[in-house]
Amino acid sequence: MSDAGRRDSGGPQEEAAQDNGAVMKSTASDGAEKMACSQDVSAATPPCNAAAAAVQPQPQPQQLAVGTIDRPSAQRRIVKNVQSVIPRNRLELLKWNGWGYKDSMFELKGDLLCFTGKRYPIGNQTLPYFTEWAINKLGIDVNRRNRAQPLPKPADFPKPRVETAFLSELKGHRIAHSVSGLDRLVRAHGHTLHDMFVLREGAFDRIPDVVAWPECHDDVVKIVELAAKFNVVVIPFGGGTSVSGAVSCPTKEHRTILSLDTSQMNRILWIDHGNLVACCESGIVGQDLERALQAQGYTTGHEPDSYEFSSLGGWVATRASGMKKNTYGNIEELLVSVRFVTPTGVLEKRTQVPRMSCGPDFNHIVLGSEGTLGVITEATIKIRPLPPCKKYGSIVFPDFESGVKCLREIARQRLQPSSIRLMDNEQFKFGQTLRPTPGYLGLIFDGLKRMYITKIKGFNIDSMCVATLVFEGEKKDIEYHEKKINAIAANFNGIPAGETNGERGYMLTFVIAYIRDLALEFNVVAESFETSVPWDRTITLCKNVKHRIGEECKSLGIEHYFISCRVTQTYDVGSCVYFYFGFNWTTLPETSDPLSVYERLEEMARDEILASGGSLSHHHGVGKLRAKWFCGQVSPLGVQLYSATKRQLDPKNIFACGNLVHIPSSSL
Amino acid sequence: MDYDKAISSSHQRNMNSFRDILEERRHTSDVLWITRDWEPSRTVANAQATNPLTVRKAVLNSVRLKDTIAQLSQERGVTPEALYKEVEEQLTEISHNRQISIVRWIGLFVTKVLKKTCSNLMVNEEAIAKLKGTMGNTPIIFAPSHRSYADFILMAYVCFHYCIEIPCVAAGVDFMAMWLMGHLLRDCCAFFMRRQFSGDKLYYTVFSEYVRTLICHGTAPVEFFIEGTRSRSCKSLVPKFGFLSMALEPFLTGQIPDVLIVPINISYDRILEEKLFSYELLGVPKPKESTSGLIKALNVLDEKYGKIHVDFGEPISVRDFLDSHLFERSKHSLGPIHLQTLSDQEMAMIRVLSHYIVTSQQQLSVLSPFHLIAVILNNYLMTNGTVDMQFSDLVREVAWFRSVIEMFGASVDITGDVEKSVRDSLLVHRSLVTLLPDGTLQLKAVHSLGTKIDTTRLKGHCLLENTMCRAVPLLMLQHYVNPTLHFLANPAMVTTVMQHLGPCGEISRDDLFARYQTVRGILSHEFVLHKTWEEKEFEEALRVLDLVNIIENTASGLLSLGNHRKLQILLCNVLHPFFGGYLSLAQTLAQVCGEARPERLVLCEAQRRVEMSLLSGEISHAAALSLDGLACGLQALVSIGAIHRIRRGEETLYVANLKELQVVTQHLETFITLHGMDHKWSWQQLELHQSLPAKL
Repeated sequence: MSDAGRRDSGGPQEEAAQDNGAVMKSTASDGAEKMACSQDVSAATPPCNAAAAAVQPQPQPQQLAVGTIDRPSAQRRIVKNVQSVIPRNRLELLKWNGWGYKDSMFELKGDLLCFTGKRYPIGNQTLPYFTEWAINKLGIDVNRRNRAQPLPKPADFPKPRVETAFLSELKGHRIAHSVSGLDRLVRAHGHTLHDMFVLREGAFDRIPDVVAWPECHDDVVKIVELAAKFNVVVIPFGGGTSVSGAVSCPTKEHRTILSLDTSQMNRILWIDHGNLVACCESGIVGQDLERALQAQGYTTGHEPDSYEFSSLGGWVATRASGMKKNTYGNIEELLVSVRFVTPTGVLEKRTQVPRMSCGPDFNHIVLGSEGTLGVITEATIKIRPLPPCKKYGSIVFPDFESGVKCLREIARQRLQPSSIRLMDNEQFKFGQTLRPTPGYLGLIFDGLKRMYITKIKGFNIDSMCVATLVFEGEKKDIEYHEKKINAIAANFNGIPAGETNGERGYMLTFVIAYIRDLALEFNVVAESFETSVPWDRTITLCKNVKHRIGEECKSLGIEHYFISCRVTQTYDVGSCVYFYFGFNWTTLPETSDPLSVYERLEEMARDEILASGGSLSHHHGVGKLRAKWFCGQVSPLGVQLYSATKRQLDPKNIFACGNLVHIPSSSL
Repeated sequence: MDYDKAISSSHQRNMNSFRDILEERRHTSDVLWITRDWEPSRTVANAQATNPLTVRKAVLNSVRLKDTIAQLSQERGVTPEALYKEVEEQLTEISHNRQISIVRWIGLFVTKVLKKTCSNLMVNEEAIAKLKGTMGNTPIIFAPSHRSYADFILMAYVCFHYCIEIPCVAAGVDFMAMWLMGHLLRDCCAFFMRRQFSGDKLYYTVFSEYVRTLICHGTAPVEFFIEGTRSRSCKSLVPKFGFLSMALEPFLTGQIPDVLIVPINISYDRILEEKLFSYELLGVPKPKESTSGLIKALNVLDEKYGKIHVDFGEPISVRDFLDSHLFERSKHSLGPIHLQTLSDQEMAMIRVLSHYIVTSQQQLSVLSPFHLIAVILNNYLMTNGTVDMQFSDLVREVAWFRSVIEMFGASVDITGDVEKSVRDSLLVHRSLVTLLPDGTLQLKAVHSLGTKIDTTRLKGHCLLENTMCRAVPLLMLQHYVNPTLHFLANPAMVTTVMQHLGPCGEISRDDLFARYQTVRGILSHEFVLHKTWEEKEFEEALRVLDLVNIIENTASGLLSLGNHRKLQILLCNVLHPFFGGYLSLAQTLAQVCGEARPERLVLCEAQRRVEMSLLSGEISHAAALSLDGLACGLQALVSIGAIHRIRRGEETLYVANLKELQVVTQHLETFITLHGMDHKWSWQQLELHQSLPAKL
């Protein structure tokens, strides 16, 4: 999927690290060679502290840096600088008011929709079925287009409120920073519907006053010290893919707000081949990390849907979950240790052991802290050798219930492959629309397949749904595994439906994120939300939420809407359910604003989720969006415990992004 | 929907949306109609139709049942197999059946009978259309009022007519004992519920699981009578919430997204069981349900019963209702679903909801001309000691009272000429009221001397023959007064309080409210009044009383009685019999309940005392003899703390709180003395028309 290598010059090989004048030979094996050649490792010369601290942002120079890490017990190790796909000036590559790469988007060509760019398999293809679907299901009028406002001019941004003394101290510490409006705007939001809507049509009430780009742990320590000294608010910013309002600035915050962008802290500090762990800086984004590791024959196996853009630090801070968690674990299982900079000091474990019984595990203070207690600077995570074989699969079921029951049985036997997901009928049908015009033969095969499923197997096209699978491992193990799963599926009337369907399903995961921008353009507001739920409540929760949304849409006079769900993860005790919801707002009365209508509907959906036994969030986090339910989930004493931790780690409320619990500064 | 607003609104209904569904039947072939293609609307459109066998299977396989059986088998030392066998038997007793052919046959019979005995069967067609529009993705509960056996049949009949899946209706097991009837009802989707089963854990589990299955997986509406039994007095009964809580549990524990409850009112011009009910209220028990009894009752099919009105209320979304009361769900996220029990708050909420349903049923009622005639005659009786009104006076009074009660929110079925309506109505009710050739009216001697009563089965005190003679027709008359009281009770309570103000005759709004609360507390069970809407209903009463000049604002910002004397008297008179009965009850309690006494004895004694007071002229209306009324009084006195209820095994005992009881007694004594309108009559003077030999 990544084409970063193409654009990169392919930096020279990794060079020896320099420490105390001693030159050490690279210990990197041929894996490192491969990595360097193929794409992304650039040579490095000065240690990070010595790197020129640009006061005004410039296009990222080809950084040559080899550093040593200054850990008390650390051995001298080789630091791999990873050339990120994403430049420091994010807008060179990414959209300023939408999801993902600038060159990739759904677009209207004539009367037909197509997907641009070559990054994804459906790129540069017209999608006639999709066009038809969008018109029928969402009532899209291709002539009624709602274009976004242009990029704001420098004068449009609110003036930064920041003391010059603070800036000059930053400069004194050679920490790159910027007060440019655009830099600040880019870091004022994540990717909630609210964020996109405001970018397209309005303006944020509050954006950061200054952006800083630390380049290593020590830089962060300095920034946090300075922030405490000048009473400046720090909001950590990683990949910017938050969907909980976590990086938005609290509107009532009158202090200076500094956005701490970790993107320049993206080195792999060391890889421990013997123990299969890697220590990385927190700003490294998923695709960079994965590419660098794969070049050495490893993988983290951590693949959240946002992994092209989201960062390691962000994963830890929100308790992220990856698609292939069945094989590799979620972030809390991947995390071995973490360095966490708080206003009262640095929290870190002094060992690198597989587990220990040593009081409460403070990793869990960091995991899910959502930027409210401090900044994650480095994380040591598990890595795995790359699997020799990867295979997709799919199974169709006559209805969603049979599918869920089958997934439950597979989980009961703990036979989950790396990933197993179940789309509901709406999503199944939707997925079918994202296929390009078939050739003559394709049509025939399509017809035959359809006939087999509907006529011979008696499946109803309006109730059937599909599970997609990813297997990883040895070929023969995969074969055996697949057989077992198909046998279970047969008990629930499931029929194997081939690799292509499976692969398409996973490809859609990445592409689906682009649809919202198109939707917004054609007067549809849409968003996804997720939850985790015990097995015995999974089916009813899905039904209840869809019912509630349907009824509320009806009563609001919304004629065209789309509500769909899929089970994306399975556990011993329950599942993770992901909802997509969008509606065409053109039938709403003039006076109601589509964004607030959407927000009210999502709130109702969340109430319904909680009433149906679901959680506040499986992996998106609480942020500000879901803070009002936090206490109900963790009990009042839980909130007090959190607040006490907050008081200890951040007595002056420097990390005042206001996620999880709104803590007025006076109470600290 | 604003539920609080709905409760006190007295908007005029559009009576034009009612349509006579018998009309068509009178002109076309019944057989063709009954055998037509019938594709009913279901509560859940895409699901498979409820199959009684699958319901049975679901209950047998339920985790909850498995748990209960495991537990009971240990407790009782019986094998699970034996218990499962017991469950099978219970299920056979409970299970409904769905035989559309039987439904059609019965439909044919019912059509014939209705055409013969009723002039019209009016159904709110607009409401039905609206209901059918909302059907399709949410479980639905029908909650009709229950005034007659005919309710069962009419509900199924109306559903058949409008192509709605025949509801699964909860019926008492006593029906089952009836030869043939039990079977027929079962085939028409009735399932059977034992009367008392809170102590029987196994049965409770089986039955509640049965209801849960019908709600969660059924495709037919589930119907139950929230009042629990037919109301003998034709007033609403305090709702039972056992069944409702069972039915709502799947929603409250998050297993279904919502439940719609449709309050339904069936208003009869004349009720089949009118006479039987009067006897029952006096303590003469109903004959055991038997088919021979039913066939005997077929004689009643020679009579005329006038019009029937069936109205379907706006479906109440339970989720909406809870939201509007700021009730938070999601208290059932811990532990497996089958171990969830409803919390006290949830039960309290269900209580509010069930009162709301009853109130909605009341608002959906349609008063027939005879209900107004009964009020006028009763009022005349209480002021003049006889009902020998002139017909022309009656017509005038009815016309006047109609305008009043419409203002109070009631819908009255009088269109066009009032005189004709009154005349037609008297014809339907000629077994109770006679229009003598000289144009005066007279009550009939419904109970004739010498009618055999099995005194061994009496529920109350053994009343004198003389008392019975007068009490039976008077209770029948009261039966027709009662439906109007849902519209009159609150204004009447305020008026009664105003009537007993000191010489200055003025009171502040707050003081009035406080005194109204006292009266309301005493009558809360009689008129099914829930605390939640206390203030709303008070406001509404003041509003209408202001409109009819009963209450005026004085210059000093206080309230005083207005000049509408006639209506004031009428309003005080309608409450009078209840105060009379309660006073006797309170006096009896003070006398006998120094220590705990069983309910039966208390009621018996109270009824005896009422009879004595009637003879002595201390109280003046036979309605005070009603055992149901006295039972309501007991419950109200418990809830205001004047007596305490003690449960000892199956038995319920009462013990007086003498101090509180004293206070209540004083209030009641005040309320039954009516300033300036002392009743001139003793009920013994009442003359009855003795033309027909009465039979039980």
